[in-house]
Parts: sequence; structure tokens; C-alpha cells
Amino acid sequence: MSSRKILIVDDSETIRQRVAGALEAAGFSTITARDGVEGLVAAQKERPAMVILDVNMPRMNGLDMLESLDVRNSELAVLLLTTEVQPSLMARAKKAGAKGWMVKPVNLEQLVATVRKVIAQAPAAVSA
Amino acid sequence: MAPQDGRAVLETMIQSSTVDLFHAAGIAVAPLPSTRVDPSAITSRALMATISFNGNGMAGTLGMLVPAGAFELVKQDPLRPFTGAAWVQDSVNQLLGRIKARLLQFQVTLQMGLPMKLDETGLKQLVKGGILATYRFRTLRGEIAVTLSGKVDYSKLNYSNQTSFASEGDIIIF
Repeated sequence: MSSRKILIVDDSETIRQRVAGALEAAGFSTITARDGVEGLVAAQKERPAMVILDVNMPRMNGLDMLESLDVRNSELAVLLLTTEVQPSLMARAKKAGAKGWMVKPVNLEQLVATVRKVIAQAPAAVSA
Repeated sequence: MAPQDGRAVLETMIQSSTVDLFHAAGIAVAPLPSTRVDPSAITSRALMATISFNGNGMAGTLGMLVPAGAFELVKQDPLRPFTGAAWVQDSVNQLLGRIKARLLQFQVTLQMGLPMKLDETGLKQLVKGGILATYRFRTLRGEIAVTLSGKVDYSKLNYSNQTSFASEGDIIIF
């Protein structure tokens, strides 16, 4: 697993491009996927350190993908990035092991700072 | 809430959410008087998208129509460009997200569909199906329109002073 590799899963091309651009400018490498199904495949194949995950997507939504990733039993960190603000959805993400919830539109500098902070706190980063 | 008050609340919500959304994208917009029933106010634009919604007392479609010139004002990373079609779909999604977040305070929980590209034929069908209101916004590069269609029971909007909801730009670490 590379502690600099981030998977961005969002059906919005605009979000994928903006977030990937900001993270790459900060020294991370990125891969992208357009929905939960593509995201699951990419997560298994690429073994990123973190997934930035939308909630509302075709085929498989972000919360279903999060639960399929079983992050409570892995070193993978997940941050949700969504327009949703419903407390019940946040509670579901927290229960499934997500590290945080970001409400669109997020300031990209703050997003990068949050990614750095969460990755620094991950077990893999500490032991690396 | 009385239906006329509910209608005013929703109109204010849509207008202020649209202004905030475009401001965040670096585009200054000025609201124009809304037109509730005049379909002639709805003319095709280069970039159009819709998103469906349903919830207690509401079911319908939100549409966004943007001239190409307005999209040219959006800042892009030349290494990571995105298309106008993708941008307008993301924008209508974020607009409904903002409205949905504000409606929570009025005890309305919406389910959002997925944003879809709208072409001229789709626009004609949308107009034929009935538009509840059109919200127009002037920009330096033409006029943006936001359409609301479907069924809305304005009396379902009941204000509660619950303020624990997250809002745009918030980052919550668990």
C-alpha cells in the first residue's frame, strides 16, 4: 500500500478533476472511479492509502461501497465528500469506519490538509 | 405553515442557494424576478441538466440552464480540465444538495436522484409537463435559469429551530 496514493470515487467529472488536481499538486498520486462498483475494483487492485468517496452515485452508492470495503478491519482510510448532510447518513458512515465527512463544495486547501492529517494518523503511516 | 408562506420560503431558498453556488464557483449572479407560469421565459441554453427529488410533500425535478459564456468564467486547472456538460450536472446536483440541507430545518427530507444532461427535446418535455417556477439570474455572460417542476405541497414546510445540521464546506472528522 502506498501512503501517497488516493482513490477518488465520484460520478462527477468536475469533482474528480478538481480533487485529483489539488492532491497531485500537493504531492499525492491519484486514481479515480466513477461509481461504487468501479471504486471497489480500483481499491482492491490499486491498494490506496485513502478513498475519497461520494455518496450519491449510480450502480453502487458510496455508503454501500464503504460497507463493502470493511475498513474497520483494514488500514484503508475513507473520507466522504458529498452534498448530503443528513445525520442518519453520517452515523452510518461513522459506524462503517469512515474517518470523516466533508460537505461539498469544500475548499480544496482544507481538503488537502484534512487528507494529510488523516493519513498521518493512520496505523500504516505510523509504522512506516 | 400557510402555503403562500411556504412558497415564499422555498423561493428564497432556491434563489439564495443559487447565488451562493455560483459565487463559490467564482461567477457573480444577480437574481431577476421569478416567473411562475410563463414557459416563454424558458429558452434553451448551451449547458442544461436536471436532477429529480422526492420527499414528504415534494416530488419533481430541478433544472439548470446555463449559457456557454457563463461556463467560460469558471476557473479550471489546465492540467485537469472538465467539460461544461459535466460542470452543469455537478452544479445542479450541488444546488439541490444546498436546498435539501436548508429544507431539513423545515422538517422536509428529500431523496435526491442523479444529475442528468438535458437536451432541447428534454427541455421541451420538461416545459410540456408543467413548470412551477423559473428563477432567472443575470451574469456578465448571459442569463442562467433554474426551473422547478413537479408537485410541491408548501404547507408541509414547518420551521424548527434545530440547527445541528452540517452545511456547505464543513469538514467533520469522526
